[in-house]
Amino acid sequence: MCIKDFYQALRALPALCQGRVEYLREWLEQPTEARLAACAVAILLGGAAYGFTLGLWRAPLMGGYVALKLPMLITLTLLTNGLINSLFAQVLGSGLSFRQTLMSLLMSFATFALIAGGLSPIAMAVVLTAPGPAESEGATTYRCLLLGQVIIIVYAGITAHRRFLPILRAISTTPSAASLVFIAWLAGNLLVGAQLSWNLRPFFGQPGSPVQFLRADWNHSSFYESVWRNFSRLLTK
Amino acid sequence: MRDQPTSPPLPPSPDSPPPLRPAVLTNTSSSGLFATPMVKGTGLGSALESLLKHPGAALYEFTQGTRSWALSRSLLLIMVTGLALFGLAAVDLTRGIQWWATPLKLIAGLLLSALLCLPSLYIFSCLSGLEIRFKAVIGLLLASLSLSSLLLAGFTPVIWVFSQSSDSLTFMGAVMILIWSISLFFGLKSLSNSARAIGMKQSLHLRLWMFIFMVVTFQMSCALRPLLGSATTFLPTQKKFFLQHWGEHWNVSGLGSP
Repeated sequence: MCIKDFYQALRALPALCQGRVEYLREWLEQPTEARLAACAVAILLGGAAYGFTLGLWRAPLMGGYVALKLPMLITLTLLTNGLINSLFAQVLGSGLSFRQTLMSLLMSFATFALIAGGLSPIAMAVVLTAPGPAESEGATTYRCLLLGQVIIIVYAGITAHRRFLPILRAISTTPSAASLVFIAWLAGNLLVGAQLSWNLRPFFGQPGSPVQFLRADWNHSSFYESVWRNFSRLLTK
Repeated sequence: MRDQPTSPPLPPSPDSPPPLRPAVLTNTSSSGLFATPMVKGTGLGSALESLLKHPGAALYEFTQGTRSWALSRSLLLIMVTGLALFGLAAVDLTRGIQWWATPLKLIAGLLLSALLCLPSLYIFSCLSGLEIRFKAVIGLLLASLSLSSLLLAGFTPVIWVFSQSSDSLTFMGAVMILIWSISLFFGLKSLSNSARAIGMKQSLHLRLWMFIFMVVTFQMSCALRPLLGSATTFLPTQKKFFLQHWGEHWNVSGLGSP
């Protein structure tokens, strides 16, 4: 991989947010190593910057942990779903190869990371000026920050994926194939992403709970079991 | 003769395909902006005229011109002066350090808010469909904040009359928030007009950013409090959200009780 190509690919990253179909189509048709690496760098840096602000309120060490865990979550989701997403892309008639599928998903996650990373200075300023976990308003602040961060993640996720659909349509053999592939990828990523984020808890760090990289019971339950249990409890009350 | 307008930049060579080309003024008539070079130079007077009468001129300089740094200096000076005047008019000059602390906090607070929000403004501009360089985004933000500061300076006599008429910090705070919001609204509206003139396709993302910026400035005012009244320390000793701070003042003043 040439350093010049890599630098040019890095400079082209804002085009992901602009959703310039004609330009990004070229990325999908020619997924060079430089372009793959540029997307990976965006995920690493954007994810780390935003991840740090997620955990910072609880403790700086927690911020450091989450700065590692958020890019890790994205990477693990990509790796876990890589094979099935590629198979879906071919079965559903989009004509995308394994490398192109990986590139598509990397571009989508890179857009997410760019949006979240762009908002990280603001999130950090809010965290630094908010009452801390040990203060009397700690519990209220925790809920407010949690809500704010969830809104940012949902906004970045939806915007990144919606921006990418026209590009997928442009490269697929038929528009319907692009939509089907998009839905299949989205469903798969949500299914696996939710479980992996459950395994990689804590992200926000509740006031009073210890600062740790992973919980001791990280592999003792699933996200969906927990949702089901909570739902059942709600119904039986 | 650096102030003379220059020809538009040459297109990039095929060997170096920069993915982001300079923003092109495409929609100037519908946005009400007429993009022309600043014929009288980029001095203080021309910058003021550009902000108030010909916003398209500043837009041209930041997107296609070659005198963006000179214009930025003039705009920065306008911003600092406007905020300093507003801060001086708002405080009681007999209250210790506040006569210099409030103007300083206003200037530092707005600059810090702009710095914090700059990366997201660039990303949100891209999401809005703008093909714009980071340097141009800095210029457009500076122009919009300078306009806001200029309007704040225009409100100086108004705020001074209120500050001399009332002892209520809650009332003065409310007046300041109102004036701040009005000034920021016009500044951000000019930013929106500029974005439309250079080809914004979706305004939703930029509007969202404007809301976030407004909230950041409010939180900054809380983090740098007190801006009004007397102070024993330069910065607060307790961290708070701005809504909590406003609510506490409202309750203490008795304005919230029936």
